[in-house]
Amino acid sequence: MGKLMSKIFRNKEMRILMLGLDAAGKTTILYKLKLHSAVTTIPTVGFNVETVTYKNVKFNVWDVGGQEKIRPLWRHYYTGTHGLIFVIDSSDRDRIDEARLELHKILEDREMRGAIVLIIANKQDLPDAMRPNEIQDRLSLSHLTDRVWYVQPACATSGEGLYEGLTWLTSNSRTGGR
Amino acid sequence: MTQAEQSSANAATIEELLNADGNGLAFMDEASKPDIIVTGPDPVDNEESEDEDQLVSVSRQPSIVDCNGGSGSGNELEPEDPRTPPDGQEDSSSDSESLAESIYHQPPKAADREAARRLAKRLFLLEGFRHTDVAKHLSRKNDFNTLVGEEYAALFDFSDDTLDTALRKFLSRFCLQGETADQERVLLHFAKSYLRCNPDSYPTADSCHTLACALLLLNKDLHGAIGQRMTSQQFIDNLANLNEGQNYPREVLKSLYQAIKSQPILQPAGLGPIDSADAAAGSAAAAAAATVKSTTCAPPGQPGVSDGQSGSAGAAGDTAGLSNPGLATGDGNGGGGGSNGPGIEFRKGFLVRKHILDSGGRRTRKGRRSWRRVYCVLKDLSLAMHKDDSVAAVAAASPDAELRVHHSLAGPAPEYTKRRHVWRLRLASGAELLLQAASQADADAWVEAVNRAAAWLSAQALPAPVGSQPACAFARPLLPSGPSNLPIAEQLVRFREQVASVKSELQSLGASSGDAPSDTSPAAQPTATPATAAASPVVCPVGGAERQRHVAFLQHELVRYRAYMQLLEAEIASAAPTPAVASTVAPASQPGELADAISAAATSNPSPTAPAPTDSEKNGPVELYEIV
Repeated sequence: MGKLMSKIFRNKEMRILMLGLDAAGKTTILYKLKLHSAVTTIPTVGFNVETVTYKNVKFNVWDVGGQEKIRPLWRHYYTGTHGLIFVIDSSDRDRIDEARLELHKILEDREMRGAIVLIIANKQDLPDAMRPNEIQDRLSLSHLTDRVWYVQPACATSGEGLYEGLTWLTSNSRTGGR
Repeated sequence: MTQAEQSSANAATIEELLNADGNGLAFMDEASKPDIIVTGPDPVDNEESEDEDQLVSVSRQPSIVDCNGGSGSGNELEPEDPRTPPDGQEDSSSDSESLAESIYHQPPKAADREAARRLAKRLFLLEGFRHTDVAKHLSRKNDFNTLVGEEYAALFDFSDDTLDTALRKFLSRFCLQGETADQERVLLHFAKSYLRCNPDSYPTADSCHTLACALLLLNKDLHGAIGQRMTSQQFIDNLANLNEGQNYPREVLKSLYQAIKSQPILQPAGLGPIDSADAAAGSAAAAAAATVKSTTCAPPGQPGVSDGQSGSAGAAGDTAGLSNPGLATGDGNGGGGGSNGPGIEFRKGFLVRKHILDSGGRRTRKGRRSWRRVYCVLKDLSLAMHKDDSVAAVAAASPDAELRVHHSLAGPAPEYTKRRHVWRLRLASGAELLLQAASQADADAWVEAVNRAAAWLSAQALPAPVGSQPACAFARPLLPSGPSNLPIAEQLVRFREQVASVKSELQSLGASSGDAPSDTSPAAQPTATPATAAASPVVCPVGGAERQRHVAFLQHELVRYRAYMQLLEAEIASAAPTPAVASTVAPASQPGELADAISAAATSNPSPTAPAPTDSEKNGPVELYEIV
């Protein structure tokens, strides 16, 4: 029945990976998205993934771990990934270079070629938060010539910007959107 | 207790205290976190403050992992607090004596293996710890907790176990939760211990660690209901070259895959993860409130507001079945729709309300436009509407309706003539209501109270997004629903900047901002404007309707920010504890301006100066803002 319904209403599924340095706010975002989602997952031992349905699009959002040598384990999920959410702490100027290296390293992966990139510029509520233009510069986004990317300012603790980001993902993804 | 042990115990206590603070604050606003740390113990070394970030994320985690049954005991955390265990080691203790001790007698912290071993043992035996609390002691990124993790893993005997058996054994004693990165750290301890028990199993701890992580991922993939499941071949392919550059033995991977597939790794039997973070957040919020009161720069109502937020989200959402104690119960600790917790109560009383526009400015449907009498409580940025003013109705966690008045604008509604004493409220979402007060004075006082709440507490709009493809369509800026933590003098500066930026945006659209001579914001510096327009340098051809919508929006914004500005200016100017009298929404100096947008017919605004509100609660909030 559920399958039939989703066929009728053309439920789409988007596979999204969410990455970012620690303390950027990934967990808060997952938590926030989940609160408003109709889908609840049974807690299973294992790394964090949330399934969120928004505007008929099902998002599988993985929290990818930080350690270099563990990172390749997510290769399996890179395949067919429609979008990458890269979360940054907009107030953390000290680590923005680290974030840049990280982001570009991920995007170099062959499997991520087709993925569109949503940068969540989190913690915009902090007084000295970097603004989208500065983030664009600091992350060298202009160098990504053949990429579709978007910097969405957000405040994950209160939720602003998250759904706007997802909306951008759905409307810009070739495969997942409506 | 040895000296060394004492020291690490103290360190742990500080850590816990910080943790508690950070915990509560993390729920409301990461911004204020540093403030709280400063008010906390001073001689905290770098390691610990660095650790703070970790702690926050770790302790917030349980709510992500979600809770199933048994989470009712989440509230037990609080009563547990005073019961400090004999060692006083890792249990949260808000005992002021131990805090003082920690501050003044704390020698430089050293990673102390003996103390780590002791703690590891207690964690292993769950002496004074719940199994849901274990993981965070193992995953923290500092020397001491790394030792604890090592010692903890060393307490297991994995000899001759296959990796999955060993992993099950390890994970049967506690709930592995936290961010993926935290879980990885815990598993590294496991891998090292496994390798020690089985020296010939894997070439290095790293290769063992990688495989252990792969198993955890596989477990989630196969049993977490996430969609397409990984096949055995995919599992093997995914691990190619990860065994220190080599492949793992194919047979080993196959049998591990089968083992996980046939039997999932489960949480410790009958004990789901308990949402301790939320319970902690409740008590921490109360504690934080006490701290915040003394620091004037923090907005007084913050704990209440943000709790109200999560509370309303929780109540409105689907959390009922998730038994999230902090969100669902509203136990007077600051939760519960923002009506119980600390905060500024701007005004309360009976009003008759009528919805006219829904969010986005769409006309409200016929059946929903009726007038209805409600008891309203405006606290912080929440305007709660209750059935009546009985204690029970007001105390109920979920009012009939709760509006967020951030970035909203209240004003007279003179064009509405069917009823008297009606005022208009336009919310940030574009929704609009008419509200009927008991008298004109009452209406004016409400208008002012709402505008004051919005002016004091509305946070700055988020900047416009940027992207690889220029966005041509006009998008409204995102207006955060959370409270601003700026003192009102700085709020005023922000509003001035906003006014200037909105004006320049209007000019660039070729529309008039309608007030060239009476510009009240000369102080705004163009360079500092966080212009919503500045972020979109690309000039797009804008269609007529689109442009009109944009201009209309900006004009409303201009009126709104000016109203805030004037209100705050008046308050700062009067600098008296009761500035309420001095400010109205439509001061005589610029009568036409507000009226223009609030209502076309407002030129005949009968009484622009509000009679002095006499409510006693008016004095409350003002005192908190005496800093200006």
